[in-house]
Amino acid sequence: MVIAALLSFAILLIAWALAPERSEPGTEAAELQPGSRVALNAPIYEVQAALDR
Amino acid sequence: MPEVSAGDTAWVLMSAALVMLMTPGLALFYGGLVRRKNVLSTIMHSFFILGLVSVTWVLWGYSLAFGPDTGLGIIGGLDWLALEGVTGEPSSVYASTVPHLAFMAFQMMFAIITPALITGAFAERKRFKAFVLFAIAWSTFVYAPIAHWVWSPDGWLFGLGVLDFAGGTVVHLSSGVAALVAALYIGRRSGLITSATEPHDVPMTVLGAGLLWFGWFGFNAGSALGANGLAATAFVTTNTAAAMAAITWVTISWLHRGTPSVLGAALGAVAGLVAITPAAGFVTPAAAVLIGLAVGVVCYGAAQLRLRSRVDDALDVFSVHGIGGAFGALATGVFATLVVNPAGANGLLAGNPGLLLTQAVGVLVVGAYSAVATGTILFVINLVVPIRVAGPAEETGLDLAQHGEIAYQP
Repeated sequence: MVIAALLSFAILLIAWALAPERSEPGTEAAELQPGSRVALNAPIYEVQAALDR
Repeated sequence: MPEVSAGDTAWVLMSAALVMLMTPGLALFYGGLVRRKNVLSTIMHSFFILGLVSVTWVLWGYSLAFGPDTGLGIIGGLDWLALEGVTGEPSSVYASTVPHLAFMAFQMMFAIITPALITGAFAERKRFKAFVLFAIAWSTFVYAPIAHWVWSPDGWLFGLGVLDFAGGTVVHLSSGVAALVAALYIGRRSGLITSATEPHDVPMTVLGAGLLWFGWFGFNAGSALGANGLAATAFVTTNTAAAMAAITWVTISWLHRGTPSVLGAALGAVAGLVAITPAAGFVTPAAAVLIGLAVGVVCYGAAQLRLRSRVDDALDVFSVHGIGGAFGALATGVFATLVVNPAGANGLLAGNPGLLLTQAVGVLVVGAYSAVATGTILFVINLVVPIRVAGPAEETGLDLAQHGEIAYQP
């Protein structure tokens, strides 16, 4: 039973290693919908630049 | 065979539940502090650790931390792998009036929240896959050995006489130092003009702080491992130090910045809770007032210094948990008294300066080990999975880039 429990966790570890990622450059921009609040959620330096203007 | 006490068992199980609530509380505390594009990823760090470390603790963590020693007081063996032999009967070593499984569950909640504390340092820029590996490795190679050193009767720091009632060194100093190392290793968030960003939701952070304060009664008073006078002492010292540090932090920020900061009240309370953690069952309520006052000043100063530095410990984990934990451990060496806890020791003010020296050794050893081990773990993981997300993902925000979700719908 102990071995089975450890193996079940090992399966999860392998799954995590194989799991895809969404953070490759260029892929995340396509997720943004025009006009969504996420699109408005600009990095702080852009906000600062806008305030400076 | 020791007898199970119904009252003690009820209190330890209830305390375990209270400490469990601290991790979602921490998720809210940290979640409110980050920018809105990273709130889900920040919450996810704590919530995922709640699941992840619950499993690793059952499988091997508890055995390494509290299992029979392998000989040098460094680490437990694998005798209790997957909790083999850990039953509803009391342990012959730990908490002799409660079921061994209840003690294990209580300790599990500490093991969960400790790596979760570190996540505040690398918020808004850490790759989730690297975070998962880090959490497993850190809880195995850093938390488990340190818990064994300090809390196992066979642990070498325990043998040296280091006092840590509920985790000032084991939980807060270790995680605070790890946070500093992680922040240095992963680097500053891109595009920041200063080391600070405006919290996106202060009420969320204050709610999180409230849940932490509530849960901390289990953390500290539960560490008495019984429904008794020591638990009552720890309960009162915990609340007193938190309260004193909260009003001290607010007062300092009022004088320094001209306004009594709401966020400062939350941060101050947490700093007070951190500092009283190692001392809660060894000092008087009057000493807790002094500890709360002093840690409010010290941690406020540390946070100000951090803002002036290039270190982007995003949510001030080192300033509050690292400094607060070290301060609390040393304060234990000053204020501890056998009048409060005959199983403890007298500190400096009770005529035993040696305890302060012992506590200092504990702080140095735990801090140094956490720093070196954390740096090594980050280096190795970075060889396998890049720790930091790519620039565009960081700019987009980790909620969408890493998790494909957003916290607030348009």
